[in-house]
Amino acid sequence: MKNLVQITLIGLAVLGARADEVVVKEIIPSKAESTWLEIDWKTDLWEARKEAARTGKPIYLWEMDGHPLGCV
Amino acid sequence: MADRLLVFANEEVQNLLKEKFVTIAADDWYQRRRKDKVGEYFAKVVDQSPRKGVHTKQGHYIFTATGKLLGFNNNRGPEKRLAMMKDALSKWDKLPKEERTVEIPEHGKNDQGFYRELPKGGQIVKVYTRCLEERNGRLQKLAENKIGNLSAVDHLWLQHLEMKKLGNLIASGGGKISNVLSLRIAKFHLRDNTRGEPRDWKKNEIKEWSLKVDGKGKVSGNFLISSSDGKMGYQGKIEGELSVKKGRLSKFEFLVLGKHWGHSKYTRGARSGKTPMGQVFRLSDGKRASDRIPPQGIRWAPGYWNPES
Repeated sequence: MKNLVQITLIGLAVLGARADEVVVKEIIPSKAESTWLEIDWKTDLWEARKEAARTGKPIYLWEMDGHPLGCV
Repeated sequence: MADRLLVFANEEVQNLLKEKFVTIAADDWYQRRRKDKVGEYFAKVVDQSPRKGVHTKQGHYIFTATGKLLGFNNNRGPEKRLAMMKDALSKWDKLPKEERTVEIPEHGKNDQGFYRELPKGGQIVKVYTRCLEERNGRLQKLAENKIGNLSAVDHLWLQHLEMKKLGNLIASGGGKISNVLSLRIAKFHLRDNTRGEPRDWKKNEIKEWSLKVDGKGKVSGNFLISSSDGKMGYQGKIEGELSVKKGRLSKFEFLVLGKHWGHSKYTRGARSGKTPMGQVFRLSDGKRASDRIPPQGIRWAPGYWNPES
Protein backbone atom coordinates (compact mmCIF):
# COMPACT_ATOMS: atom_id res chain seq x y z
CA MET A 1 0.00 0.00 0.00
CA LYS A 2 2.84 2.33 0.97
CA ASN A 3 4.53 1.61 -2.38
CA LEU A 4 1.31 2.31 -4.24
CA VAL A 5 0.99 5.70 -2.54
CA GLN A 6 4.64 6.48 -3.35
CA ILE A 7 4.24 5.46 -6.98
CA THR A 8 1.05 7.54 -7.26
CA LEU A 9 2.79 10.57 -5.77
CA ILE A 10 5.77 10.16 -8.10
CA GLY A 11 3.36 9.73 -11.02
CA LEU A 12 1.51 12.92 -10.11
CA ALA A 13 4.80 14.79 -9.80
CA VAL A 14 5.88 13.57 -13.25
CA LEU A 15 2.50 14.53 -14.70
CA GLY A 16 2.85 17.94 -13.05
CA ALA A 17 6.32 18.36 -14.54
CA ARG A 18 5.03 17.38 -17.99
CA ALA A 19 2.11 19.76 -17.67
CA ASP A 20 4.61 22.52 -16.85
CA GLU A 21 6.68 21.64 -19.93
CA VAL A 22 3.56 21.83 -22.09
CA VAL A 23 2.69 25.26 -20.71
CA VAL A 24 6.28 26.48 -21.17
CA LYS A 25 6.08 25.47 -24.84
CA GLU A 26 2.85 27.45 -25.17
CA ILE A 27 4.50 30.57 -23.74
CA ILE A 28 7.89 30.74 -25.48
CA PRO A 29 7.92 31.90 -29.13
CA SER A 30 7.35 29.21 -31.72
CA LYS A 31 9.77 28.71 -34.62
CA ALA A 32 7.32 30.44 -36.96
CA GLU A 33 7.16 33.43 -34.62
CA SER A 34 10.97 33.69 -34.56
CA THR A 35 11.70 33.76 -38.29
CA TRP A 36 12.36 37.51 -38.20
CA LEU A 37 15.31 36.83 -35.89
CA GLU A 38 17.09 35.01 -38.72
CA ILE A 39 18.03 38.48 -39.95
CA ASP A 40 21.37 39.57 -38.49
CA TRP A 41 20.02 42.52 -36.49
CA LYS A 42 22.66 44.70 -34.95
CA THR A 43 21.92 46.93 -31.98
CA ASP A 44 24.74 49.48 -32.16
CA LEU A 45 24.28 52.19 -34.78
CA TRP A 46 27.95 53.10 -34.93
CA GLU A 47 28.98 49.46 -35.41
CA ALA A 48 26.39 49.19 -38.19
CA ARG A 49 27.80 52.36 -39.74
CA LYS A 50 31.33 50.96 -39.66
CA GLU A 51 30.24 47.68 -41.19
CA ALA A 52 28.26 49.48 -43.89
CA ALA A 53 31.31 51.58 -44.74
CA ARG A 54 33.56 48.52 -44.81
CA THR A 55 31.29 46.26 -46.85
CA GLY A 56 29.86 48.92 -49.16
CA LYS A 57 26.21 48.40 -48.21
CA PRO A 58 23.45 50.77 -47.11
CA ILE A 59 22.04 50.62 -43.59
CA TYR A 60 18.48 49.51 -42.84
CA LEU A 61 17.33 50.90 -39.46
CA TRP A 62 14.20 49.68 -37.66
CA GLU A 63 13.46 52.35 -35.05
CA MET A 64 10.70 51.95 -32.44
CA ASP A 65 9.75 53.36 -29.06
CA GLY A 66 10.54 50.25 -27.04
CA HIS A 67 13.25 48.11 -28.57
CA PRO A 68 12.00 46.23 -31.66
CA LEU A 69 13.99 43.13 -30.65
CA GLY A 70 12.51 43.00 -27.18
CA CYS A 71 10.29 45.02 -24.91
CA VAL A 72 7.06 43.66 -26.43
CA MET B 1 4.94 43.01 -33.16
CA ALA B 2 3.07 43.07 -36.46
CA ASP B 3 6.27 43.97 -38.34
CA ARG B 4 7.95 40.82 -37.06
CA LEU B 5 5.40 38.52 -38.65
CA LEU B 6 4.00 40.58 -41.52
CA VAL B 7 7.19 42.07 -42.89
CA PHE B 8 10.38 40.57 -41.50
CA ALA B 9 9.21 36.97 -41.85
CA ASN B 10 8.50 37.58 -45.54
CA GLU B 11 10.99 35.58 -47.59
CA GLU B 12 11.67 38.28 -50.19
CA VAL B 13 12.17 40.94 -47.51
CA GLN B 14 14.48 38.61 -45.59
CA ASN B 15 16.60 37.75 -48.61
CA LEU B 16 16.98 41.37 -49.64
CA LEU B 17 17.92 42.46 -46.13
CA LYS B 18 20.44 39.64 -45.71
CA GLU B 19 22.14 40.24 -49.05
CA LYS B 20 22.01 43.98 -49.61
CA PHE B 21 21.85 45.76 -46.26
CA VAL B 22 23.46 46.10 -42.86
CA THR B 23 20.48 45.73 -40.53
CA ILE B 24 20.05 47.39 -37.18
CA ALA B 25 17.17 47.75 -34.71
CA ALA B 26 17.08 50.48 -32.07
CA ASP B 27 14.97 51.85 -29.25
CA ASP B 28 13.89 55.36 -30.22
CA TRP B 29 13.43 56.40 -26.58
CA TYR B 30 17.23 56.32 -26.16
CA GLN B 31 18.43 57.07 -29.65
CA ARG B 32 16.51 60.29 -30.25
CA ARG B 33 17.80 61.67 -26.93
CA ARG B 34 21.49 60.83 -27.24
CA LYS B 35 23.84 63.81 -27.05
CA ASP B 36 26.92 62.15 -28.50
CA LYS B 37 28.37 61.27 -31.90
CA VAL B 38 25.85 58.46 -32.39
CA GLY B 39 22.99 60.85 -31.63
CA GLU B 40 24.40 63.46 -34.03
CA TYR B 41 24.69 60.91 -36.82
CA PHE B 42 21.12 59.70 -36.25
CA ALA B 43 19.79 63.28 -36.14
CA LYS B 44 21.49 64.00 -39.46
CA VAL B 45 19.61 61.09 -41.05
CA VAL B 46 16.27 61.97 -39.39
CA ASP B 47 16.45 65.61 -40.52
CA GLN B 48 16.21 64.43 -44.14
CA SER B 49 13.05 62.41 -43.38
CA PRO B 50 9.39 63.25 -42.66
CA ARG B 51 10.28 62.80 -38.96
CA LYS B 52 12.18 66.09 -38.88
CA GLY B 53 10.69 68.25 -36.11
CA VAL B 54 8.38 65.45 -34.96
CA HIS B 55 8.67 64.15 -31.37
CA THR B 56 8.86 60.48 -32.29
CA LYS B 57 11.46 59.27 -34.76
CA GLN B 58 9.90 55.80 -35.14
CA GLY B 59 10.00 54.22 -38.55
CA HIS B 60 12.14 52.37 -41.07
CA TYR B 61 15.11 54.25 -42.51
CA ILE B 62 17.62 53.38 -45.22
CA PHE B 63 20.76 55.50 -45.37
CA THR B 64 24.46 55.49 -46.11
CA ALA B 65 27.42 55.34 -43.75
CA THR B 66 27.94 59.03 -44.57
CA GLY B 67 24.41 59.77 -43.32
CA LYS B 68 22.58 60.33 -46.61
CA LEU B 69 18.94 59.21 -46.40
CA LEU B 70 17.83 56.90 -49.21
CA GLY B 71 14.41 55.86 -47.96
CA PHE B 72 11.87 56.17 -45.13
CA ASN B 73 8.66 54.30 -44.45
CA ASN B 74 6.40 53.73 -41.48
CA ASN B 75 3.80 51.50 -43.10
CA ARG B 76 3.13 47.91 -42.21
CA GLY B 77 2.96 45.39 -44.99
CA PRO B 78 5.69 43.78 -47.04
CA GLU B 79 4.71 45.31 -50.39
CA LYS B 80 5.29 48.94 -49.41
CA ARG B 81 8.43 48.04 -47.50
CA LEU B 82 9.83 46.11 -50.46
CA ALA B 83 9.08 49.03 -52.76
CA MET B 84 10.94 51.36 -50.38
CA MET B 85 13.93 49.00 -50.17
CA LYS B 86 14.17 48.59 -53.95
CA ASP B 87 13.87 52.33 -54.52
CA ALA B 88 16.63 52.97 -51.96
CA LEU B 89 18.87 50.38 -53.62
CA SER B 90 18.36 52.05 -56.95
CA LYS B 91 19.47 55.39 -55.41
CA TRP B 92 22.40 53.61 -53.76
CA ASP B 93 23.60 52.19 -57.08
CA LYS B 94 23.74 55.70 -58.55
CA LEU B 95 25.91 57.08 -55.75
CA PRO B 96 29.59 57.72 -56.45
CA LYS B 97 31.93 55.13 -54.92
CA GLU B 98 33.33 57.59 -52.35
CA GLU B 99 29.84 57.87 -50.80
CA ARG B 100 29.49 54.11 -50.50
CA THR B 101 32.80 53.13 -48.93
CA VAL B 102 34.20 55.56 -46.41
CA GLU B 103 36.43 55.53 -43.33
CA ILE B 104 34.45 55.78 -40.08
CA PRO B 105 36.27 57.00 -36.95
CA GLU B 106 35.60 55.79 -33.40
CA HIS B 107 32.67 57.65 -31.87
CA GLY B 108 34.11 58.53 -28.47
CA LYS B 109 32.15 58.40 -25.22
CA ASN B 110 28.54 57.26 -25.15
CA ASP B 111 25.97 59.59 -23.59
CA GLN B 112 25.54 57.64 -20.34
CA GLY B 113 22.15 59.23 -19.73
CA PHE B 114 20.76 57.37 -22.72
CA TYR B 115 22.96 54.34 -23.12
CA ARG B 116 22.70 51.09 -21.16
CA GLU B 117 24.97 48.08 -21.09
CA LEU B 118 25.13 44.94 -19.01
CA PRO B 119 27.47 45.50 -16.03
CA LYS B 120 30.76 43.61 -16.12
CA GLY B 121 30.18 40.04 -14.89
CA GLY B 122 26.41 40.43 -15.20
CA GLN B 123 24.07 37.86 -16.72
CA ILE B 124 20.90 37.94 -18.80
CA VAL B 125 17.63 36.12 -18.30
CA LYS B 126 15.11 36.22 -21.11
CA VAL B 127 11.52 36.83 -20.01
CA TYR B 128 8.80 35.53 -22.32
CA THR B 129 5.18 36.53 -21.71
CA ARG B 130 2.05 35.24 -23.39
CA CYS B 131 -1.68 35.62 -22.84
CA LEU B 132 -3.24 32.19 -22.37
CA GLU B 133 -6.69 30.67 -22.40
CA GLU B 134 -8.07 27.37 -21.22
CA ARG B 135 -9.08 25.10 -24.08
CA ASN B 136 -9.65 21.36 -23.98
CA GLY B 137 -8.89 21.34 -20.29
CA ARG B 138 -5.44 22.92 -20.48
CA LEU B 139 -3.79 26.31 -20.78
CA GLN B 140 -2.90 27.21 -24.36
CA LYS B 141 -1.84 30.31 -26.23
CA LEU B 142 -4.65 32.42 -27.63
CA ALA B 143 -6.06 31.47 -31.01
CA GLU B 144 -4.14 33.12 -33.86
CA ASN B 145 -6.79 35.70 -34.73
CA LYS B 146 -6.88 37.12 -31.20
CA ILE B 147 -5.00 40.26 -30.15
CA GLY B 148 -2.15 39.41 -27.81
CA ASN B 149 -1.64 35.86 -29.04
CA LEU B 150 2.07 36.48 -29.72
CA SER B 151 4.83 35.86 -27.22
CA ALA B 152 6.49 39.04 -25.94
CA VAL B 153 10.11 39.16 -24.81
CA ASP B 154 12.06 41.24 -22.32
CA HIS B 155 15.33 40.77 -20.45
CA LEU B 156 16.11 40.59 -16.76
CA TRP B 157 19.62 41.75 -15.90
CA LEU B 158 21.49 40.53 -12.84
CA GLN B 159 24.72 41.81 -11.37
CA HIS B 160 27.62 39.57 -10.41
CA LEU B 161 27.24 40.21 -6.68
CA GLU B 162 23.55 39.29 -6.80
CA MET B 163 24.35 35.91 -8.34
CA LYS B 164 27.03 35.29 -5.75
CA LYS B 165 24.50 36.02 -2.99
CA LEU B 166 21.99 33.66 -4.62
CA GLY B 167 24.64 30.93 -4.69
CA ASN B 168 25.43 31.49 -1.01
CA LEU B 169 21.72 31.40 -0.14
CA ILE B 170 21.26 28.03 -1.85
CA ALA B 171 24.46 26.63 -0.31
CA SER B 172 23.27 27.66 3.16
CA GLY B 173 20.04 25.69 2.78
CA GLY B 174 17.89 28.34 1.13
CA GLY B 175 15.59 31.11 2.23
CA LYS B 176 13.97 34.29 1.01
CA ILE B 177 15.44 35.79 -2.18
CA SER B 178 16.80 39.29 -1.57
CA ASN B 179 14.43 42.24 -1.78
CA VAL B 180 16.54 43.87 -4.47
CA LEU B 181 16.21 40.99 -6.91
CA SER B 182 12.66 40.11 -5.84
CA LEU B 183 11.40 43.66 -6.29
CA ARG B 184 13.19 44.02 -9.63
CA ILE B 185 11.36 40.94 -10.87
CA ALA B 186 8.03 42.12 -9.45
CA LYS B 187 8.14 45.78 -10.51
CA PHE B 188 9.71 45.44 -13.93
CA HIS B 189 9.14 41.90 -15.17
CA LEU B 190 5.78 40.61 -13.93
CA ARG B 191 3.96 42.69 -16.51
CA ASP B 192 1.75 42.23 -19.54
CA ASN B 193 3.85 43.50 -22.46
CA THR B 194 2.00 41.51 -25.11
CA ARG B 195 0.33 44.55 -26.69
CA GLY B 196 2.91 47.29 -26.14
CA GLU B 197 5.01 48.98 -23.48
CA PRO B 198 3.48 48.44 -20.02
CA ARG B 199 4.14 50.79 -17.14
CA ASP B 200 6.29 49.68 -14.20
CA TRP B 201 4.56 48.60 -11.00
CA LYS B 202 5.01 50.82 -7.96
CA LYS B 203 6.31 49.33 -4.74
CA ASN B 204 3.04 49.99 -2.88
CA GLU B 205 1.10 48.14 -5.59
CA ILE B 206 2.79 44.90 -4.61
CA LYS B 207 0.19 43.75 -2.10
CA GLU B 208 1.41 40.21 -1.50
CA TRP B 209 4.80 38.82 -2.33
CA SER B 210 6.96 35.83 -1.48
CA LEU B 211 9.88 34.38 -3.40
CA LYS B 212 12.14 31.79 -1.90
CA VAL B 213 14.64 29.16 -2.92
CA ASP B 214 15.49 25.97 -1.05
CA GLY B 215 18.83 24.25 -0.58
CA LYS B 216 18.41 22.32 -3.83
CA GLY B 217 17.66 25.44 -5.88
CA LYS B 218 13.91 24.89 -6.10
CA VAL B 219 12.10 28.21 -6.31
CA SER B 220 8.57 28.98 -5.18
CA GLY B 221 6.58 32.13 -4.76
CA ASN B 222 3.20 33.84 -4.78
CA PHE B 223 2.20 37.36 -5.68
CA LEU B 224 -0.68 39.80 -5.85
CA ILE B 225 0.00 43.11 -7.55
CA SER B 226 -2.75 45.66 -8.02
CA SER B 227 -3.06 49.33 -8.94
CA SER B 228 -4.56 51.53 -6.21
CA ASP B 229 -7.93 51.67 -8.00
CA GLY B 230 -7.84 47.92 -8.60
CA LYS B 231 -8.33 48.36 -12.35
CA MET B 232 -5.03 46.69 -13.29
CA GLY B 233 -3.38 43.78 -11.55
CA TYR B 234 -1.70 40.42 -11.69
CA GLN B 235 -1.98 37.51 -9.28
CA GLY B 236 -0.28 34.18 -9.51
CA LYS B 237 2.49 31.83 -8.50
CA ILE B 238 6.10 31.29 -9.43
CA GLU B 239 7.87 27.95 -9.60
CA GLY B 240 11.32 27.23 -10.86
CA GLU B 241 14.90 26.22 -10.43
CA LEU B 242 18.09 28.12 -9.80
CA SER B 243 21.66 26.94 -9.89
CA VAL B 244 24.81 28.96 -9.30
CA LYS B 245 28.29 27.62 -9.98
CA LYS B 246 31.40 29.60 -9.11
CA GLY B 247 29.37 32.78 -8.75
CA ARG B 248 27.70 32.39 -12.16
CA LEU B 249 24.17 31.30 -12.88
CA SER B 250 24.10 27.94 -14.60
CA LYS B 251 20.32 27.67 -14.42
CA PHE B 252 17.58 30.25 -14.02
CA GLU B 253 14.25 28.82 -15.06
CA PHE B 254 10.99 30.27 -13.74
CA LEU B 255 7.44 29.48 -14.78
CA VAL B 256 4.97 32.16 -13.73
CA LEU B 257 1.27 31.41 -14.08
CA GLY B 258 -1.45 33.75 -13.02
CA LYS B 259 -4.32 35.98 -13.97
CA HIS B 260 -3.83 39.49 -15.27
CA TRP B 261 -6.38 42.22 -15.64
CA GLY B 262 -6.52 45.74 -17.03
CA HIS B 263 -4.13 47.79 -19.12
CA SER B 264 -1.88 50.85 -18.97
CA LYS B 265 -1.52 53.77 -21.41
CA TYR B 266 0.31 51.86 -24.15
CA THR B 267 -1.19 48.38 -23.62
CA ARG B 268 -4.83 48.97 -24.46
CA GLY B 269 -6.95 46.15 -25.85
CA ALA B 270 -6.67 43.76 -22.91
CA ARG B 271 -9.29 41.06 -22.55
CA SER B 272 -12.02 41.94 -20.07
CA GLY B 273 -11.82 40.56 -16.56
CA LYS B 274 -9.08 38.49 -14.98
CA THR B 275 -7.56 36.28 -17.66
CA PRO B 276 -4.71 33.73 -17.68
CA MET B 277 -1.19 34.86 -18.49
CA GLY B 278 2.04 32.87 -18.44
CA GLN B 279 5.69 33.85 -18.25
CA VAL B 280 8.91 31.93 -18.67
CA PHE B 281 12.21 33.23 -17.31
CA ARG B 282 15.17 31.47 -18.93
CA LEU B 283 18.93 32.04 -18.69
CA SER B 284 20.49 33.37 -21.91
CA ASP B 285 24.10 33.05 -23.02
CA GLY B 286 23.82 36.54 -24.51
CA LYS B 287 25.52 35.50 -27.74
CA ARG B 288 23.00 37.10 -30.08
CA ALA B 289 22.68 40.89 -30.23
CA SER B 290 18.95 40.47 -29.62
CA ASP B 291 19.74 38.82 -26.26
CA ARG B 292 21.78 41.79 -25.08
CA ILE B 293 19.30 44.62 -25.50
CA PRO B 294 18.50 46.35 -22.20
CA PRO B 295 15.48 45.52 -20.06
CA GLN B 296 12.48 47.72 -20.82
CA GLY B 297 12.43 48.80 -17.17
CA ILE B 298 15.99 50.13 -17.11
CA ARG B 299 15.29 53.49 -18.72
CA TRP B 300 15.62 54.91 -15.20
CA ALA B 301 18.67 52.83 -14.30
CA PRO B 302 18.95 53.63 -10.54
CA GLY B 303 15.35 52.50 -10.04
CA TYR B 304 16.03 49.24 -11.86
CA TRP B 305 19.14 48.37 -9.89
CA ASN B 306 17.72 49.58 -6.56
CA PRO B 307 14.00 48.88 -6.81
CA GLU B 308 13.43 49.46 -3.09
CA SER B 309 13.91 53.19 -3.61
